[in-house]
Amino acid sequence: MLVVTAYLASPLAGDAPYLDALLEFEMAQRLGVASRLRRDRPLPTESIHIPILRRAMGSVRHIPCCSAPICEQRSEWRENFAKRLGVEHAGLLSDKQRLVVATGNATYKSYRLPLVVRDVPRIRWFCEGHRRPVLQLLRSVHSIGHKRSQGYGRVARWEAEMADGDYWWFAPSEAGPVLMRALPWCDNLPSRLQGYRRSFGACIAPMWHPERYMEIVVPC
Amino acid sequence: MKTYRIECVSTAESPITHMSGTAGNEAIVAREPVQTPRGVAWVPFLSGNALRHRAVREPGVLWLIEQYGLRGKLSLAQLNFLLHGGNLTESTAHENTRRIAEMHRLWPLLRLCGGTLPNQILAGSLDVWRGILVCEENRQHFPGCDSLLPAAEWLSGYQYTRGDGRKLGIAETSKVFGDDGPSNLMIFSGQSVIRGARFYHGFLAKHATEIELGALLWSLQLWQHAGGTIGGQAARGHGRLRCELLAGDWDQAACVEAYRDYALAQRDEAVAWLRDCWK
Repeated sequence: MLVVTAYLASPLAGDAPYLDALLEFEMAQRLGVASRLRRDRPLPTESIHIPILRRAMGSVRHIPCCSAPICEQRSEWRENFAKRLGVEHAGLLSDKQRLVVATGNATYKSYRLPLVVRDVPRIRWFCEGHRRPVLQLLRSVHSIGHKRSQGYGRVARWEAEMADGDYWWFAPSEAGPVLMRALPWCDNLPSRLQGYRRSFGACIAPMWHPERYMEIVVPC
Repeated sequence: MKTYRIECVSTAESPITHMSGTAGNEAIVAREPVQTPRGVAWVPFLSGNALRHRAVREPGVLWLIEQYGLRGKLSLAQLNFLLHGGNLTESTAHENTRRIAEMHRLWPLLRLCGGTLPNQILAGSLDVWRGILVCEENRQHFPGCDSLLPAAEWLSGYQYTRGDGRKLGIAETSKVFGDDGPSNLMIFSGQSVIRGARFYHGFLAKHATEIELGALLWSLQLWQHAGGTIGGQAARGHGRLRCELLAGDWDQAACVEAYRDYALAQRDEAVAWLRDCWK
């Protein structure tokens, strides 16, 4: 089993991504197909190859053998990001455009929006994959989560090391196997499955595409 | 094309008042929780959003507006797009890839900063790091430093007064406040990071050309030339940062000159692109 760790140098905004989704996006960019993956278009029939093993569960094929992100969270708080129209630059406008502008609503509305931010020094994923190709793809991933352009989720370094076990879908416990990633809701799930709840969403990347939506179980 | 990592250390040359809100009449400086051996400490920082606007987009775009002769000729939507990134306002969004490619070619600074046209998002390629205060609590980011002061040593406060205009004897008080009316004097105060404090921050220009790197470096030079301010109270002298770039594998002067020459050469096409977006 490969244990991939991201060491963060800045707080994480939003949720950490699935490693397989991250690798698929990186590979899609290298293959030149990323711009063709759109919500309003059918997905290509062939899945994008990533250096992680895939298996089937129930009628769903090509589910990556990779756990959901495991975040070592130390604290959580709220920050804000703001935007306002710089009316101090009104002199740059043409004469006809020097109008009375509503900044409380509509297009030029000022905002100061909250952002939930977490202090997460490390994020780990368990997967079954090839160490070197995984690290090569991750070399171009400099930040993860939301609002990366504002400095959130900056990755200081990636590490990948081999370990015993196969915790990418289920981890053992005395009460029964613990769910480690989103999987299809089907009869093939272990009978005494722990730590899950039912949901409707995706368990295969791209997670945002409607074609991927199905009845799933997610870790909780 | 390559990914450029530009690391900076900025030293406060005047009190930094990058606020997160107010408590009564007092402005509270922005802080983030940092885990230390003695527990969680709340340490001042500079937001990436603020640095992105004040240090990169605003100075760079204002220079382009002057060079392209656009002063007094912009529409409100164009001003909003150039200086603040614009807004997605139309319901039928689409991807005009030619328009995106042309923007990348004609406006290297906008390829870094990105923006939004009314019907299309133009993704940027620049990540701006938040500014980390160089202090004991953030020691994990500065392993080579022996002695670091705790964050509390870098904090202070300020208090200013907005005077009562009546005392100047200029206003007709009987018409405004009356002879026995309440004073118009207002005291306002806040927290600030004191002079001498240093912040470590940086920029990551992903898959950028030397021209785009030059755009970023030129923006930083313009920002410094205009005082290098961040945060509020700049009108009272607050917020001045002296930014020093750590060594990198590029010729800064050559990159900046190449960008300036390139930008001036694209002037007519760039202006035509801007006008075409709002036809």
